[in-house]
Amino acid sequence: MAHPHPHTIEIVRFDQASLHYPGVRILDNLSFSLRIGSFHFLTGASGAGKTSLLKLIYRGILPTAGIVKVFGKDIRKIGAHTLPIFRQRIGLVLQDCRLLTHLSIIDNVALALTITGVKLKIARQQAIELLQWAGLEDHLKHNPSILSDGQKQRVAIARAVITRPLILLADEPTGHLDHEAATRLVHLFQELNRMGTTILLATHSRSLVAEFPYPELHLFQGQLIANPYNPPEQNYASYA
Amino acid sequence: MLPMRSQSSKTIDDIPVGQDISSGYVCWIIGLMVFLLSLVFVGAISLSSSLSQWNLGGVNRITIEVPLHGVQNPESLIENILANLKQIPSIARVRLVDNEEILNLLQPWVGQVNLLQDLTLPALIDVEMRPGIPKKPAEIMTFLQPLVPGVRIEEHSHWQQMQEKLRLSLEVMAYLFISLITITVIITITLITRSSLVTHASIIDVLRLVGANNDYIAHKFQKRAFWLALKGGIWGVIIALPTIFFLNWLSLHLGVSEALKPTLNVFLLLTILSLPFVVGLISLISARFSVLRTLARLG
Repeated sequence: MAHPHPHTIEIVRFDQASLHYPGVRILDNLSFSLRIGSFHFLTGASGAGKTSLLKLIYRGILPTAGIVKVFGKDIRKIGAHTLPIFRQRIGLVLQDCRLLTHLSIIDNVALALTITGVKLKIARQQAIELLQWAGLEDHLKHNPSILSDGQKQRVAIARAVITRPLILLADEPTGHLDHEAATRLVHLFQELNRMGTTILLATHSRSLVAEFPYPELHLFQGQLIANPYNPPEQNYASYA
Repeated sequence: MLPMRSQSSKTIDDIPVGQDISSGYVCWIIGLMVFLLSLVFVGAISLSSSLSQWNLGGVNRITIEVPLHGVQNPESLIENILANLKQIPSIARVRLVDNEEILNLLQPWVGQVNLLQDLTLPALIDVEMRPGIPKKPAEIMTFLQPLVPGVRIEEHSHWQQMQEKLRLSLEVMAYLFISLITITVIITITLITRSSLVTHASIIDVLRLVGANNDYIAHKFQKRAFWLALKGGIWGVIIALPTIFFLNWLSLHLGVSEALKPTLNVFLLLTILSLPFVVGLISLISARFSVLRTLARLG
């Protein structure tokens, strides 16, 4: 029996998923899927629902209607006991980085492994390797507060990928960066994608999206629409 | 440039619960609780053991108290009473309690019994009734009254009931106090843990996002609660033991009744020494439940 090609496997699937609060429609009737190993930009103006969509994927919130499946499983069926294991398979990079300022940079990265039971010595060794890859070898034992925004984002990426997640969600990681630093950061994501990690990168920067040849999920007032800025072939594959 | 963090520990101090300002207060509160608990244990067990030492005889016994004040020939009077008592069919045995024994009985109440040596003490006759035959103190009283006006009969069963009530009351009070202290420890630890959860909410949020489970987070708080309680408890015991010895010494020098003297036997000492661990365990469980409940509520 033939095995399906990895790149045809859906890692995320939204089926008419909505997120409504009384009087507010955050996300409305979304249907799309992300294939394993793909790279997508998630675009839209502030308040379009990008963060909410990412939260649905990492089960920070639940849809009020429809189905969201991640790794083939309905997120509603992920219980409190299995949620941590589920989260360990998802890398998360947020705009404000959320680094722990009372810890060194190595430990900020290593803790993502130690919480899974990996010994500290091994976790620190892997953290050093990742931080060297991210170009932060000179700051290993420093406090995150002395780093620039771009450097902090690279630490956050290292922390997000140290557990070798299947998918990396990045919520406006370039929001505080100049264009050059933002481009360097996307190159890091690109490298991770080449190594097999599925990437969903939320950004409102049009210039950044234009610079890379990846498809785009464009949110407008809580709905996915064909992006007028993109040629039609770039709006393809994502929509179910 | 900020100083480097230590890289030598075995775990990452991701939730710096040890830096909470409330930690010091918890230590003191727990220390005070354990100190009070130690004193209550010593007090309750000393009194209880004193009560059990008061040998008031069995239910088949009565004591006849014969006043001797103003009696010209007490020996012949007592001999006459003893001879007459032996003739009563329901009485199995009679025995005159000697003076030394009377003084020993009075010692727990009076303390310095040598002061009583010059006083005319009443004679006590220990009477053992035949088992199975109902006691008739009134009948004996009728028989004795003409011989010795003012004679009294003490039924031991009455005292035993009172003694039992007193022992039960002391036990209930001790249990109430222990419960009160346990509840105080649980409330203190729960409040401190909740306050700490609020303080470290953003860190906990990050840890949960990167996949930390609730047990992992609870472990950090319960470990801290255990050590704080253990530390406070050890201080409580360290202060309580010399206090107990001092109270004992003081009671010896102030002529306090034997029944009220704090005593410290091996069992009691071991109980007091185990208090910090017991309180530590209670704190650990309280902190764990508090964290798990809060995190479960967060979803």
